[in-house]
Amino acid sequence: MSFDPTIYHLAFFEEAAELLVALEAALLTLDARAANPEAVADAFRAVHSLKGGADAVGFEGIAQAAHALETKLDLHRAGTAVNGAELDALLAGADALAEMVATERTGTPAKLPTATASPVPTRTVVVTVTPAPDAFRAGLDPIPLLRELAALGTVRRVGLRAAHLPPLADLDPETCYLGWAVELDTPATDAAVRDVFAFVGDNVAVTVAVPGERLADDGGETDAEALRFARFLTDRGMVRPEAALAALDGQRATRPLLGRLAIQAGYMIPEDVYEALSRVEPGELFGDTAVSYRLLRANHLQDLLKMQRRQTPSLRDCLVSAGAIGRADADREWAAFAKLPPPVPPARIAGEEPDVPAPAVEVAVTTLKPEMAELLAEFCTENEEHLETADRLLLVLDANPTDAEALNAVYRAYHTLKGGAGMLTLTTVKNLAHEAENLLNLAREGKVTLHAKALDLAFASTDALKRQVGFLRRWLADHEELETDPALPALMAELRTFDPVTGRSDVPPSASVPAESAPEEHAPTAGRAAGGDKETVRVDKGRLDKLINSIGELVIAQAMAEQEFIDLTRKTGGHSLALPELSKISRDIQELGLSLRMIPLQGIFQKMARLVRDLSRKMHKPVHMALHGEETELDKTVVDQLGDPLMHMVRNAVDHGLESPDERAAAGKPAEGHVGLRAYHQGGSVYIELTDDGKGLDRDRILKKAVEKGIVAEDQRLSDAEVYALIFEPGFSTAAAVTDVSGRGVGMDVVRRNVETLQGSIHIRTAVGKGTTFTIRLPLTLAIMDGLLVELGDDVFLLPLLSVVESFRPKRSDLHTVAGRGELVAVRGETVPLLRLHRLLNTPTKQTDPCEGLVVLVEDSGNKYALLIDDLLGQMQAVVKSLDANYQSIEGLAGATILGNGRVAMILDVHGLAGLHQRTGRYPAVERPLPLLATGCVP
Amino acid sequence: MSESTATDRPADAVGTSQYLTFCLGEEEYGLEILRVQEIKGYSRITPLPNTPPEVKGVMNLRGAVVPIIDLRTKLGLRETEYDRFTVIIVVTVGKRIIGLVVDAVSDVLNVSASEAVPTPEFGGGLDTSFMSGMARIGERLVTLLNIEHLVGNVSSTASLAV
Repeated sequence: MSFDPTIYHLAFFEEAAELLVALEAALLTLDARAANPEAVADAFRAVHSLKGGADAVGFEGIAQAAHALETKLDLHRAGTAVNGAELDALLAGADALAEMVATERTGTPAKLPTATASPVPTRTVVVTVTPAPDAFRAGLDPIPLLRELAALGTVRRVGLRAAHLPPLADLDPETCYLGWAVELDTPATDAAVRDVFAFVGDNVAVTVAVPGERLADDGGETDAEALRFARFLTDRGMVRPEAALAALDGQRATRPLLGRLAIQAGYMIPEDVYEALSRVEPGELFGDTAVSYRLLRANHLQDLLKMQRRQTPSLRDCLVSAGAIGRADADREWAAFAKLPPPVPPARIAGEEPDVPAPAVEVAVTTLKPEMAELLAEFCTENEEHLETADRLLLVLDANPTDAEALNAVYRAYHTLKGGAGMLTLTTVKNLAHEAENLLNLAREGKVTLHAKALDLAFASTDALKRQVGFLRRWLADHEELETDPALPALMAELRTFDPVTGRSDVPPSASVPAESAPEEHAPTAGRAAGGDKETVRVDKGRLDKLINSIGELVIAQAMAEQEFIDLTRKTGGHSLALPELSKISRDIQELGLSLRMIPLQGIFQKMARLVRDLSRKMHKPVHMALHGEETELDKTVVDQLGDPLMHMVRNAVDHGLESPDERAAAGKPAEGHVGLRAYHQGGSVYIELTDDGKGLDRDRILKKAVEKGIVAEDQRLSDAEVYALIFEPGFSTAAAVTDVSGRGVGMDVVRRNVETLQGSIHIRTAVGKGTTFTIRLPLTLAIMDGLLVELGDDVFLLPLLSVVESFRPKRSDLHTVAGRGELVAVRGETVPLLRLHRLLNTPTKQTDPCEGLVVLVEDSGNKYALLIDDLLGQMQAVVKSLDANYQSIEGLAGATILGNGRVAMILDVHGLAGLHQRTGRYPAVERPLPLLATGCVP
Repeated sequence: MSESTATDRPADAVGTSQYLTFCLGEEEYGLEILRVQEIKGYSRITPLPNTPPEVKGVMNLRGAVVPIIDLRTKLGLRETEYDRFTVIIVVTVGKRIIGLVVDAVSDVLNVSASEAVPTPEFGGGLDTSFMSGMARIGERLVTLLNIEHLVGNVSSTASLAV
């Protein structure tokens, strides 16, 4: 395959379009509010991403222009306001960028933009051009070079360096004595400027200095200031331009190196300095690089920069010592200069540091490459776990802020994340993790108690990190632009400015989670609970599914072999020692295989505890949350799908179930509400119970609402269970209905649907004023199902054991009909509709008389049905196969399975059957012609 | 799709495609051989309730639950008893595996471009969308089936049956 750059171009254009919109939006926000570092950061990010993208696909012009704009924006990142003129310039720059992108897109190759051609954001550079004395003899004419240089932008001034010019008598016309210093406003990068001289080799010495931009090693924020001062002086005629330039050069040369300062100050060790130096990319600053690689702390960098400035002789001193200006004049000029309105951030002139350190670290990562996908996926999986752990342990810390083990574990989680992110150059993640780690470190050192604000910050960091991991996940799925978190800059700022001394609690913590079990159980075992001690192997889910499928087939094949052996030896007799052994082993393997997919409910429970904590704070309802049985294990697919319904239920419990503290006090209840989440095994199912001690469901109001909504007829008599089941009706999920019906209903239809998809059921117990308990019953796994083998005609069906209540043969007197066709069976005082399975499925049957056949009482979301079948054959564990893999799903069937004899049997779906019954039951039961005329098989 | 694969065959085959031919009564039909996964003798299948009559049911094909479609019923021919010649041709359609019940398989046919004739106009309301063309091989006239069209409707007709 040949490389086609246009694909990348297209991707870039799409990305660029988004970035440009984001840039403009950010810039317009700047307009609205004066100082807005967030918006500047946003704009900076957009421009930076654009620059990276343009560079990657080879649009140098765009990259250069973006770089220039970026430089401009960088000046404001420290939090200084952007005045109207500057904003205009920035917007013009954004427009120019958009124009350039458009030009590339439409196919007209864009020339390197010149300042006259488009109002690209520019910066000022000082280019010194010193041709070698024998340059003329080498055939070099500096004039075209200078013209070319001038074409890069607007020339502010050109200083002639004629110091070497000899008296006329000694002048050799073939020797070049002159040099130039060109002060140029240009959008071009240093490299582009140097490119002008690319072909002259050693014949011309070129330096490009960028006043206002810190160069590697110098980090002097006074550069811009010094340059402006120099200009100020030359403008006023106090100093000759050459002298000013020479002084500037001299000043720069005498400045101590940051790295050396860092070693002297003990902020860095020499090895780290070398490492940082080796990592400095062209255009990057030493200090920023060191900070971004965590070789240097941001606040230390600020110290170092201050230190460096202090140790650098001022321009005044340089000028004075060079004799260019008198001391008194210099001081007077400086005083006048300092009074000038600052075109650059005043903070810098005053020599004071802005509060927020501003190294270029919050830059979104744009360097994700498809090759990294595998590593990234691993990173995500691993850190999702770490973050879950962190979240859980933070809850432990909420209960006991000094739990050293939990503190260490959370710290480790952040630290691991940081390490992984650093390796994958996920700068955003890494920086965030670093800040969070710092916070935890403060807590570890006892400088901060993790509660109130500090704990909130820790939670927020964990959430933000989760979001970042989520973005990566999404990127892995679509390989599109990595999303950015709008809340991140604020969080970063908060983390950075978090002061352990003033970090007091603004809001008293109202949720004590999970107080009941935490202090005794959690805290001491926190380390182990983190799962770090257990050695595990990560396996791709697809492979695991394949393994489990194969195991299923093995079990079937084993059963078939056994059957064949029995058939073969029926006449001759005989024993096998191997077969029983095989059967035992395959059963063991099957069990083991299923256990591979089992995960504890802990993660999801923890999420709920967190949710309760957040809700409790948000709604100012003190809530006590108790968790029980988090170790209960369930199939991963089930657990994954359980999050949503549980979340809705918990939210409802806190939001609508629990009363406000005042109401509770009035009702004589403790102000703190109680929400309990509990899981346990019982009879091959897993039960999850959500209990609250709130106001309970109001039967009459629900019923009234249902009648209003037309869900229930006015004169319809409903059992309590039926009334409570109404809250699961989609109609009840509108907000208005919820408040009217004393809550419960937001998303409750979603809850029921999800639970039913999982082949589970949900029950409600409630007492007005006392509280409500929701019980979800779930199968252990979806891959395997316990079922009753049911005979119907010549066929065998499997009825999920979960929905079976009992089976019985009704007496004639138990049967009733309504209007000749609605059949009912009385069982244990209840009257239950009779469903003739053969009629619902249009299959032949042996028994049409319920008193001769067998009736199985089944249950579907609180409703009971009597299912007429021919006979019960036994019980089996079935591997569930979906029908729509090769065909499509069929109403009334949950899927198929393969029996021990190798034949396929259908698995019945009680919910679907009930639906079929409802639709066919309304019409006179017509026996349909059986379509299975040709099922007679080959003898 | 099937047409395109038939016509896009590489030059070495000089525009010929291979077809598995089978009988339904007196008529002979051809299926693109690349679609055919295997041929199985008819064994007992489990009926699928509430499906159109041509869906005979499902069978276990090494752990996969595969629907079986009776081509006679599907094409509206008279149904016959299944006998020892009755076979199931297992074909792949997209990602799906489907079994087709036919009377008997006859042979593998090379159909060159010159032998293939486009589907003629039958008139009389005969739906020819399931045909990709016809091939005249000597005296024999083979109807070439468009498998996507043929079993593609299985799903849509099935939903009407409930």
